[in-house]
Amino acid sequence: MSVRSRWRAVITRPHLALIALVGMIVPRRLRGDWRQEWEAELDSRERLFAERDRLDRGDRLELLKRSSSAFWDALSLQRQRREDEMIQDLRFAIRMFVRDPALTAVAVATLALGIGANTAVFSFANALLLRPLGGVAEPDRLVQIGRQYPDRPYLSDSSYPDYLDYRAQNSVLDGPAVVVPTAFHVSSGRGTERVDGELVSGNYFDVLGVTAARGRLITPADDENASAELVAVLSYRLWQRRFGSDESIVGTRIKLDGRDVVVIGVASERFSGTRIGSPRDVWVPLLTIRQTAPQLAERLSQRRPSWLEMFARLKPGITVEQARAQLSTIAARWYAELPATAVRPAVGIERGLGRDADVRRELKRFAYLPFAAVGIVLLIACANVAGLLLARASGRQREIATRLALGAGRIRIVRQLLAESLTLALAGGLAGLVVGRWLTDWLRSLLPERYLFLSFDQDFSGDWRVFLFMLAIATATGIVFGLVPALQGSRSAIVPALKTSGIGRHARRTGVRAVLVVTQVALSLILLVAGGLCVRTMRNAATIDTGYQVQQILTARIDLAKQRYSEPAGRSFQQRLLERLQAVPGVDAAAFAVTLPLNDSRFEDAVYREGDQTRFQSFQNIISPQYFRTMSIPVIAGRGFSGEDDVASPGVAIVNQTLAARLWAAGNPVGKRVTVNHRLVDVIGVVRDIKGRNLFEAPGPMVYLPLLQEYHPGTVLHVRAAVPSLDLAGIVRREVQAFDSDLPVYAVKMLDEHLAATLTPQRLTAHVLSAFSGLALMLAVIGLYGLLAYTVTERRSEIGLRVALGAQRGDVLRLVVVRGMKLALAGVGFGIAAAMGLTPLMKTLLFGVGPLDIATFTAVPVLLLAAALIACYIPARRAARADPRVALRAE
Amino acid sequence: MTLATATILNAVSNGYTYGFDIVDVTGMPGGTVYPALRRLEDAGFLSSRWEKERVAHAELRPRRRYYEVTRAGREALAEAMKRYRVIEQAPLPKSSRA
Repeated sequence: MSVRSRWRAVITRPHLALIALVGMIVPRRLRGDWRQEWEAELDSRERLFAERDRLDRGDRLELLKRSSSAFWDALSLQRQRREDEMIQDLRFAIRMFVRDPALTAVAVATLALGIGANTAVFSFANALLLRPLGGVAEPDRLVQIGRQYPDRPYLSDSSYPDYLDYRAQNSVLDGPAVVVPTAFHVSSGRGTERVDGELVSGNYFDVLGVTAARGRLITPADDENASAELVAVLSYRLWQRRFGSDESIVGTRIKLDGRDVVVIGVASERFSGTRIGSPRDVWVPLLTIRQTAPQLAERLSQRRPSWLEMFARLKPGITVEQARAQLSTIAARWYAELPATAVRPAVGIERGLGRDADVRRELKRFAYLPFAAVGIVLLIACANVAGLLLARASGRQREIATRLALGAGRIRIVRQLLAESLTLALAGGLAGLVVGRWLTDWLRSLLPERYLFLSFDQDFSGDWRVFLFMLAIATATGIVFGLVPALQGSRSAIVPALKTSGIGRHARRTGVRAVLVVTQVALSLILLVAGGLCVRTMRNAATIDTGYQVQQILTARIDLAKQRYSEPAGRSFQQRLLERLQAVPGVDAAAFAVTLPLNDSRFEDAVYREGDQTRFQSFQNIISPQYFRTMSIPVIAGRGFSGEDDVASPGVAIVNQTLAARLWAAGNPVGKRVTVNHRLVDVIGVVRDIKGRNLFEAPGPMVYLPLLQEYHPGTVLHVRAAVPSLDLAGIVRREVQAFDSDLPVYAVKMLDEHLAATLTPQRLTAHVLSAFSGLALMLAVIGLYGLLAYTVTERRSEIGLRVALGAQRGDVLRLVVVRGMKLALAGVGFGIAAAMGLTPLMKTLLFGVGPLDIATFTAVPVLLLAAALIACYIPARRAARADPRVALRAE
Repeated sequence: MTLATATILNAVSNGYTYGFDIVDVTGMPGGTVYPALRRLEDAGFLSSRWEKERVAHAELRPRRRYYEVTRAGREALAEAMKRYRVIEQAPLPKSSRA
């Protein structure tokens, strides 16, 4: 079509010209179809007008008006244009990476390590702190309720009357329901085992919204009729493990704590109680205690005792504040009846049923350190990959300049380069999921079975939260390491870039890369220092004197009360078992104690001097005669307990050095008398102090009482072997079974395992920090090496010129090494300054070493500089060996 | 589904199967009808095919794109009819040109 006829068409049929014009903003992929469809529409309309009244001016205007509405149609397709461009960017990015597989592999591997480390640590935080209670309906509406005393940062338990009043008078909650965690001895033909369970109010399952996998769950009627037949619900895992998923379980009779109980159902597979990390296996109606534990049942009518964990479900639309306000009004009614001096705790309501506030606090105390460590690793990985991309951007300067010259906007170029870095980050993130899985398994292997009240027998595998976290950090990472190279890359000056290269062209980019290397060295120094301090803490902890023998001692718990032993039967059992164990060849000594050393749950009570009302708070342990011998705790003065210190003899006690010094600053304590547990007893000996609650605290005051005088059915058996190879666990089980085949022996563990478990946070941080700081060091050294190798390649002609002009190999070597070491030194300087500011934050985790420990602050920089020297030497040697003729010819 | 989209889907199901026809019978502007047709096609309620070149050539006009209601589209339309009684009350004339 000639220009003239084209103009004629525009004038005679302007509506079609308008369609052609508007069509320019339609994405190219759709443009052909779009134009045809609109042309067909307007053509038909034109024909219609023409048939009717020969297409007058009004009709032409109408056609123009109609064609202008195509603009709105074209606008609606802009989303597709953006999508098309994104796909184009993505395709281009993938092509670029496929073309440079070495760079892609290094970058993806680096990112996988950084993102994987973060994903692994997040998997733990997810399982321990974030994942809601499993198997319940709408967990975010569940709240914990308790007494909030002003001096306690956690919720205290409630009483049964509190529960009854709240349940009857509130209109804002479903429930509340109450629960008491307890252990059960389950017997069912295949011996007896001890499992964790809960005594629950009749509405417990209802409020939680738990479903039954088999049979039915406990109802209010079961609780009210608890005096009739005893009933229980089993967990799915107990049903599977112990009963082999027996379909006829419902209606079966089993024994719980020696009593006949009918199994009425099995809870859903995903439900394992109301405490995450402490799975429960049996649920029994609370009011059963009227029959099984009459002493405990007395509390049912008492307002004061705190013994019931309470929770409820907020009714739809009700806030925690509204619920708290109403429960406070209800509590105020009974507070009004209390004497004026009585303590009136506030009503506490907290979201997040399933996690103990103190366990959560303890976890958070330690969680920040691994997160900080992996965060730093990720930053170093980002700096590393940014360095790689900057190096590559130099190589692509001509390509980018060509695209700019052809009319691409700078934003388009930045977007393209960012799409590349995001693609790389996403690939790194996906690989990071695999690395994260390995690291999670490794971290899991460092954990004991339990720490505090938290069981680590949990599912730490990834879920959608972990995947979202990975996506989020991969995106953030992609932007962080991609932005600088993208902005730098898009800033190409077109004309010089299109010309041949000249010396100094890459100076600016090398400068940015140098800053990145300095940052990497500084960050890795911080991590190495933190790791060094934690490793020293672990070393120091290993040398702490506990005050007793730790090796070759087995501990195991036995609970006679759950097997309904009477006191005389229990005493006889304890005595005969010790006799039999001591007769076993290879067993050095055996004893009972009520508590383990290095244990949080210890007895604590007041001790008074004879004739003196001054109260001395002291820990307490009740032990059998051979305890001090078994544990190798020396008796410093007087004597230890003997078989004669029984109920028929006068009451006796032994104190440790600390308590002796507190009670009687001077003079011999032996022969003095003290009141303990409301009894006046003779002090017959003084023993050496041993470490109490944890290894890092000084030993506290301790009073020991003889088990023969203070009978206790729940005890820890301590057995010492003469040789390390002895199978103590097998011996203990066999001997106990010989007396009572139904009596479970549980928590069987060597004493050194207990010791190791108490050091869990320190060991974990030491392992995590040393592993990740090693990784950081490796990445930083690779970064430094990469920069120098690149600089050497870039400056090969300059170096060649220098050599041609008489420079010696040593001069070239020095030139490169000095440049690298200057960067490393700068990084070390910044790193030391930052580490000095940060390590005081980890003061509470350290033991026997200060946060500014000179040895660590000297050794780490030396190590780092040595590694940096190697990283500098390799490219320097290559530069020094280069043939100047080859280098100059290449130019 | 908006009332306008439901009306367009209804028009196609009544035999008004290409852009001009639909614009004509619904009385809506092309700037509303064409984006709606595309959305309905993306949602799987309509399918489309281009008319054969020779047919258009024989009639000396540009090719037309013909739309057809899919099974999902029929179900969606039935739902929409219940919601927008007005469509039912004022049904479109059946087309004889499809």
